[in-house]
Amino acid sequence: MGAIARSPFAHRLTGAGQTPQNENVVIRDLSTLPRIGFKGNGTTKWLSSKVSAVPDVPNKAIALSAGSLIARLGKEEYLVLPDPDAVGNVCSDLEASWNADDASGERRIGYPLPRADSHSWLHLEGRCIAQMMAKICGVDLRSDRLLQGEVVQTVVARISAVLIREMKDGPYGLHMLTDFASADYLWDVLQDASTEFGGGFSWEREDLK
Amino acid sequence: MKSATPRKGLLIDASRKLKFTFDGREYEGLSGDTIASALAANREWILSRSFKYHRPRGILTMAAQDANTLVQIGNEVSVFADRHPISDGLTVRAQNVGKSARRDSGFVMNRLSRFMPVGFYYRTFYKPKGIWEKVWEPIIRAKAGLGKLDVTKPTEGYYDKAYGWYDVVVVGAGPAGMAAAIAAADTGASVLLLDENPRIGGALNYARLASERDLVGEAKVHDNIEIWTDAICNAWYADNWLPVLRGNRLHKLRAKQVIFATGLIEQPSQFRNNDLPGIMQGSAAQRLIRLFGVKPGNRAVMLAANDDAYGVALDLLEAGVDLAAICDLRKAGHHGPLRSELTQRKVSILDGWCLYEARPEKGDLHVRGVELAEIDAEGTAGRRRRKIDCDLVCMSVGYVPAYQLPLQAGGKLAYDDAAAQFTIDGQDKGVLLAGSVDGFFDLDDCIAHGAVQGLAAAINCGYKSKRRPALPARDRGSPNHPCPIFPHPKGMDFVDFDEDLQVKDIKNAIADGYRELELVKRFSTVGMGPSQGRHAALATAMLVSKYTNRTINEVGVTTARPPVTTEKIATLAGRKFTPFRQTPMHEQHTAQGAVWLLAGNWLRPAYYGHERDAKRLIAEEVVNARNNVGMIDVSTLGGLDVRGPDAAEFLNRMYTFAYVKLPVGKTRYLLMTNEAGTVIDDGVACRRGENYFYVTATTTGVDRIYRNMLWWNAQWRLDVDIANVTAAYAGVNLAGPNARKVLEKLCDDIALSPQDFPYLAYREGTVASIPARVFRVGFIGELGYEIHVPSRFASELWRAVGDAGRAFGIRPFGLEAQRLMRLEKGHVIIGQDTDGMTTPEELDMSWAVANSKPFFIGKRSLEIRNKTLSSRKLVGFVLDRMPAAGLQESNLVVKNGSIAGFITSIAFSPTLGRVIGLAYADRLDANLGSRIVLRASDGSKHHAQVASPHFYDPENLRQEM
Repeated sequence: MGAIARSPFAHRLTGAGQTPQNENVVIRDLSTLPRIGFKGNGTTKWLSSKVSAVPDVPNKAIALSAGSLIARLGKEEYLVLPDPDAVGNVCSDLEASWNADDASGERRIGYPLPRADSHSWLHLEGRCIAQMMAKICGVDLRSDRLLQGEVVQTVVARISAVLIREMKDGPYGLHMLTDFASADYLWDVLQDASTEFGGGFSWEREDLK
Repeated sequence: MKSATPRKGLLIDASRKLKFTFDGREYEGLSGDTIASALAANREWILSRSFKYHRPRGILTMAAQDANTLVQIGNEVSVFADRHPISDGLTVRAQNVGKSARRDSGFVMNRLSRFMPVGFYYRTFYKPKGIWEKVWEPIIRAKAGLGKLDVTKPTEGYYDKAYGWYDVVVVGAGPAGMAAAIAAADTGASVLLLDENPRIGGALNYARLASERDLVGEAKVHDNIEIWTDAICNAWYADNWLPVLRGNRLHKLRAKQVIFATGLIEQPSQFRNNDLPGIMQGSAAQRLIRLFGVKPGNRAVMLAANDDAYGVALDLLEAGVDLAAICDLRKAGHHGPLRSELTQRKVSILDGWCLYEARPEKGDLHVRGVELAEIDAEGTAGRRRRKIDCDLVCMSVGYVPAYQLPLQAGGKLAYDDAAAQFTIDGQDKGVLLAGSVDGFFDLDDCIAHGAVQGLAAAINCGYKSKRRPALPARDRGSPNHPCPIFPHPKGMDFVDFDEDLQVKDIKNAIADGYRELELVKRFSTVGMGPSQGRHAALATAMLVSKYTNRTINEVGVTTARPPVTTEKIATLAGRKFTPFRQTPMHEQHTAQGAVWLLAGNWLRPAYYGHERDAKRLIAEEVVNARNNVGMIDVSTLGGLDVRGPDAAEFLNRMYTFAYVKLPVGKTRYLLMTNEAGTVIDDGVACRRGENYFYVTATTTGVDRIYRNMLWWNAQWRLDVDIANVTAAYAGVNLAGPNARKVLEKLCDDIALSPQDFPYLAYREGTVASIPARVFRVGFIGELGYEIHVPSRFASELWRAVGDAGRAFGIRPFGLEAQRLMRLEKGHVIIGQDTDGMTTPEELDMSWAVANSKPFFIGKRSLEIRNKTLSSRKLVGFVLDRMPAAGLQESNLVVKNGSIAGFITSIAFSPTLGRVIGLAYADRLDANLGSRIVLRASDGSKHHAQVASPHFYDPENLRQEM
């Protein structure tokens, strides 16, 4: 594929870059990174044969090798995210593996979902994330209520969202996946909600490439 | 006029002076002052005029509980002057006044009051017939109302909302509330302690009370307690959902347990002129003295019916007020420690006396004296009288619990007539009461009860404690007088200050037959003003009880509903969340000059260029697509991946057409009907594989269709997976005679010749190096390719198609041109050319219904409906030109004076040079060449000729080339 993937937030990432005033709320756009989903009959069994482990119950995420994570969104639905800081081949490998198994006639192995195109991907980090999210989301996301690796499928500012509590050590972090087509709307919502905390989106000149 | 002596008060900072204006006059106050306290410090006592009689009104409660203190600030109406802080430059105006609160010509209404008995609205203004609408309503509307809102001005300030979660929320940070919060927090529970005042402590801040415990200090340093001041819990909703107003933010709180420690509302006594400025609750005087350092008057008379009144009297003396007399409604025999102190200070105390009349200054601007009367054996004002000059009257005759929130939480109010006391019981199991609202009046009892309830709430949340504090006794007496009402033959003995209702009004309402409290309320409007009966409900119940010979418990009080106090529409609205969706090519459309329209929640280009040239631009876009090549962003089209061994069977059931035998690499039109056989959606099914269909749906219908599919398959249990991939795939429709030539420049792995890629075929490959799903469809009736690619690459596709087409003069076209061209082809738009009754037969689309299938949704209904066809049919029609009156969609088709149908689509076709349209018409007129009558919006009628709806290229030669 020769074309370069473009984030739905790309037109907002302008100038030389932006850094919030403080580290209360720092939002990074990860939408250009790979991600993939699987769902349908047989998904759990098939995925279990491809990765080290899958979460044992829905709305949980666990770490895979190389910093990637797998979130279980339903009985037979999963989402795989690579490590944003060291993107490996976990998504493309899984996709290729599924295609090969499908081509060889295996059935009841679920179906891949184009999560890289259906959902934008943001990472929110900082000590005021839960407080900021309380302005736009009706679920209690405070660190002692939403534990590392817990998943919330809910509504944020009236659009559907998948929220995954970051599992890495460090400041409170949240992966937020929402409708790809609502990115422009979401940008304004988050910028507005984070202003009170001196936070906002963060990007560097390199991100504009 | 400036305050004569430096003031000391808990809430004020004497070192920070602020200037503000009231009714155009400048005043000086201190930081921490409310508008009312600052004006009082300047000896300005008149804050407003009453609603009906325009009587001067001043401070009554100093607790933002009454309508007397409602003022206007800028474009914000009905602001409590006894809550709103002053600031430098603040401009405040009185409401419902002529020139000012002090000089109001509307006071003439006071003299006319005897001509306006209760219920006079209902009797006076409705005869002769029609006079209400023409004469009285405009006059009364002009006179009525409080503040003046300029609705053309935008809302000032930023308003938003936030959610919050706590184990225990304690509403009211008085002694009981603080004790409850501390007890709950000690167990480890997370506690929110909130209070409407700027400082926690409640009555400890202003009343003559002292506790051994430093509850304020304990609460402030407790790690598990969050304290919100200036925060109003304005309602209770199911599952302990609490809306809390704090500044410009509405907090939507969820609590496992709620404790209402809302305290008491002090009640006035009813006597002639009891509303004059200078007459206030004892607690109001104490608030002025302790919180703001304001001396409430120079010479006072204290009206008492409990021992709290003696505390007020002592506070007045200490503030330098000359106490002329204490008039105690009770007979002799009350000898508390405070009374002894007053006796020692030689204060005159009249036991068994009432306040019969307050005498006003000229214009009723302030109280200048009182007439006291000894209470006779019947409990009414006797003949023995005494007159005293004074400029201040304080009333401490009893309380009602602040029952509004507990009642909203399901609590039931009962009245103990013997103790003259309300009790509340039966509220939601997640709600507890603490302190005086639950009938504990002694300070230590309140604190002890708070601790008990706080611990109970924490235990209910699952926290543990070994402490088991004892519940205090409830038999320590009531501070409430059973009936502090002393009617005067000349009236002006106000029961409801908001509505200017006197004792005789309630009496007359009952005499008119409205014996039940709810009826008295509706007939007299008692309790319907801004203070919602806080000071009128009990007095009204007492009067109804008295005049109907029932107990107050039998009479009851009216219901308490949200909100508790005033709230702004802006607060309820908050920050608006109105989601919208954009395609990945949005910025490119903007750069190309798109004029936007909203399709569902998608922003779509209507056309490209300046709005003033809209018609010309749309026509040009049509002509270019018809004669050359155009491109349109169709990313908003719904996309569904239907996969699995039963995918074809699933589509067979969901849609009217047949899909089991559709070959891989082919597309087929989709038509969906609901259970009633009504057409609800359409699209295209592309068979990507034996078990894989890519299905399109209408832009606005896809989410509903997706839900429908999930719902149906939950019952059918077919082995199929359905995924809504609408946002994941963006699309470009490349259409026009030169479309193939453009695509050939971008595509080297799909054979594009008509033989290799015929009309209605589906192919996969790469377009501009982007993996693409390509299908040949002809919505606008030209050679066309619909190219769907992953959304991340769609802007690159749009650029590449534009670049490749440049040599051919390609230009983008918008939704308007597309709609016009599909009309020229006679392709219907579901939702525009269909309504809630449309069948495929009415659309002449029976060809898309596979009746041989055993089942599809709506099949049974269609079989029944097709046996008795409707009287209408969708027909094409033509006119040579658009009538001057204009014809629009939804204009009627009429026949013999009746409605035969309506226009669903109409436009001037630049391709055909005449007006074309689709309309529902009488089935008998559906034959080609028939004439139908169209009625324009102005009523004019216009003849149109019925024509084939396939106005353009009826043989489909162009789209199949």
